Amino acid sequence: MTLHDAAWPDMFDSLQGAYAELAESQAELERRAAEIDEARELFEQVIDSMSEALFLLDSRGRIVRVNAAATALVATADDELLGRPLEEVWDEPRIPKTPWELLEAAPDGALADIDVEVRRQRKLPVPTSVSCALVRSKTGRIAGLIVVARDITERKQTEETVTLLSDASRALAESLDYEATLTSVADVAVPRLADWCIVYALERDGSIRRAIVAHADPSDAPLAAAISSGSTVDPDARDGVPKVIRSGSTELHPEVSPTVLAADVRERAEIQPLLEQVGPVSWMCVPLVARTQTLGAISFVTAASGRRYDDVDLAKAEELARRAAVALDNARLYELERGIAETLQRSLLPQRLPDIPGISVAARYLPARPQAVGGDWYDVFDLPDGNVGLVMGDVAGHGVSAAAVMGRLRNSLRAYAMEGHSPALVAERLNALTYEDEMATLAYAIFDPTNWTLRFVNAAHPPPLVIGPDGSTGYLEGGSPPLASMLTPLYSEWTVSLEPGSTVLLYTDGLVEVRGELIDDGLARLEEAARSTAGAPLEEMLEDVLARVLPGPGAADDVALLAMRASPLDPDRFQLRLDAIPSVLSRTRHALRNWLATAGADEAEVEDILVACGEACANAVEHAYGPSGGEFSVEGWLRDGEIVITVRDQGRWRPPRGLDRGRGTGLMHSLMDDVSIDHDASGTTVVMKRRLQADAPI
Amino acid sequence: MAVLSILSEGDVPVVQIAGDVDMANAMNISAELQALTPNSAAGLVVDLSETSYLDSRGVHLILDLGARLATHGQRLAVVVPDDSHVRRILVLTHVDEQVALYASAADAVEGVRSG
Repeated sequence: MTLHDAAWPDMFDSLQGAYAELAESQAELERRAAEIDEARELFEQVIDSMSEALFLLDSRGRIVRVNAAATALVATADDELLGRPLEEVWDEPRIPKTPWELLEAAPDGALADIDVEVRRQRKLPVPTSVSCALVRSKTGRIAGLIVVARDITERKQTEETVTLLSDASRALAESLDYEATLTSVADVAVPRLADWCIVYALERDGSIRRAIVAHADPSDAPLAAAISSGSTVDPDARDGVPKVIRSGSTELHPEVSPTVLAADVRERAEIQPLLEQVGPVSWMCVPLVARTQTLGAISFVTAASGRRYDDVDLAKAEELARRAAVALDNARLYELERGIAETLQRSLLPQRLPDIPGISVAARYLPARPQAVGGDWYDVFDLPDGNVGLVMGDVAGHGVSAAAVMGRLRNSLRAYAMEGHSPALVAERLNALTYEDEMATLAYAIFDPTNWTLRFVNAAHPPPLVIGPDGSTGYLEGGSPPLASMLTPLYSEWTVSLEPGSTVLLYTDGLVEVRGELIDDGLARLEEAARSTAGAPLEEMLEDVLARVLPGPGAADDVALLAMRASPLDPDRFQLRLDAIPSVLSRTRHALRNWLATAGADEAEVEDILVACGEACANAVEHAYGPSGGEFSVEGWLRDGEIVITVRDQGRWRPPRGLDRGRGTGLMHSLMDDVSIDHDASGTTVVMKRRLQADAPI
Repeated sequence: MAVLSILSEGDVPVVQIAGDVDMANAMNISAELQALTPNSAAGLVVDLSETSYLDSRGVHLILDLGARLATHGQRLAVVVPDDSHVRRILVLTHVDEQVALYASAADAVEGVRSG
């Protein structure tokens, strides 16, 4: 609008126009003011409805504007805040109090995500995230500072829950041992979720065992022990843990008394004072359920921390229990499987080692823990021809499946061996019986006590060790591919002569293999250990070898050891104790034949004495034969060129029946120079003598 | 442990016993030998030339078998090499007085046939 130097009417017109314009402008201004008011009101509504707390400070750091969330955060009324510096109402050193402080901390004028805790009287600290920004005027002048604070309790809780549960998963995955898993559960819960954590196991007989009592304060240990040892859970109690286990539903008591906690305890009067000492504040109990089966329950109790459980805590506890139950279920199944595998394997190891004169045998089997049962097996048996079979094998893998393969191989090996097949042929047949995924190594040796030779096949097994009577040692060289080789391998066998008194040691790789070490080091260690204990009796030797070779108490892998020592037969003395069963007769003849040859009897004399002795032994078996069984002994002496055989049993003498029964006694008299048969209440003793033609032993 | 082998069948079966004969297996061998002799047969030849051990239980087996076969009008012959220990046992127990002993299976079969 302009005023011109013009004529009045023009001026009037102009004024009129100017007035109209003015009026128009006035209306415009009013409209704009209304708009601004509206906008301000909207702005006010918006900032007041914000869940974030907002503080607007002027250039000197005085509060000029706050919203409802801000007054709630600092618990101070709106009108008490305005005009005061922020630090008077919220003393948090990490938050800039003036624009200048902000610029010092952040030259670009903005700071985000300062995580602080806001403490209000008598309340738990509230995790809060703070952001600050400069406020500038249009001209760029610094006009003030905006501080926005956000309550991040929920985010923090989520984070904590995630950490708790991931820690739980990690701890629970560490062990497949049932009891160790129970301990892990409690360790994870204390102190993050509880001051006291008690894990209950529901036993097969329906009783409830308080398996673990964990506590945050180490000085509570005597109290925990007193509670553990001094009380038992009444599984039929109406309330408490039994109720949780029965119903499968949770219990949440934000406030709890010792009386409530003692509700399921049999020894209520004794336990009540102890629980008073605990000073429980809050309690929750969740069941341990896996695959619809209730395994137990976990109780979480707060005391000294004063913490009160709410639905969020209960959700955490439930999730923890869910994971724990899965881990416990796995541990239970694992232990079940291990139990089956162990039983299976034990049943496949020889119950007793054969008693062969001049040959001593000893064995050890150490299952690795906590790993699963392995496929190691050993076997020793006497063959129909009087030789001794020695077996050491190792099926790849663990558990029931390995034990089953092992059982098949063991029985097949025995069967082929009894058929009289050579070691290499036995290995070849076993290889044909195994499938590709049943890799196994095997050492099978046949010892012939008549000529001191050892014939063996080694299907990729660690080499047997021979320890001479003088302490010299040597590994038996010569190997073939493992069993279950994909190709049709050729199995070779080797024969070595043993010096009388030598020991043959078979073992599995668990003895000589240490992780991170060359197997040669293990072999050298074994050889050294065997050398240093060479003179010791066999059982002692095995103990010594194990003590020196195994790195620590817990072997990483299963270890099996089988040792056979062939002592030179004493030409003057023979001794054998036997079960009174018919199947021992042939074994007795083999042993006696070897001794008679050593004592210098010629072939005809050996045959005569064998039949005479066979008659006496058959009688002993017959006398003792019955449901209770029994034993008998055969002893032999060489005295001044005369063989004396004594067969003694503890059985009841039965007179010979008919002509046939007297025939055996008649044969004894015909074949020997002198026979005497004495029977009394304690049993029967037959003494037979035969003078040898050749004087000197061979 | 012993293994029975039927060396020939027909009117005079020949059965060889290889291995040891003792109280652990004598009863079973006896039953098996009887089963191997059909009623139509003239008799049975038991070849002990591969028998490594035989005591009074084996002696009883032979005598008992001979008696059983005789009730059917059948004859038993036993093959034992002249120098074998088994022959010594059979002679010491007077089996040779009741059962014919031969050094070869062919002679034994012929002996059973000719009666």
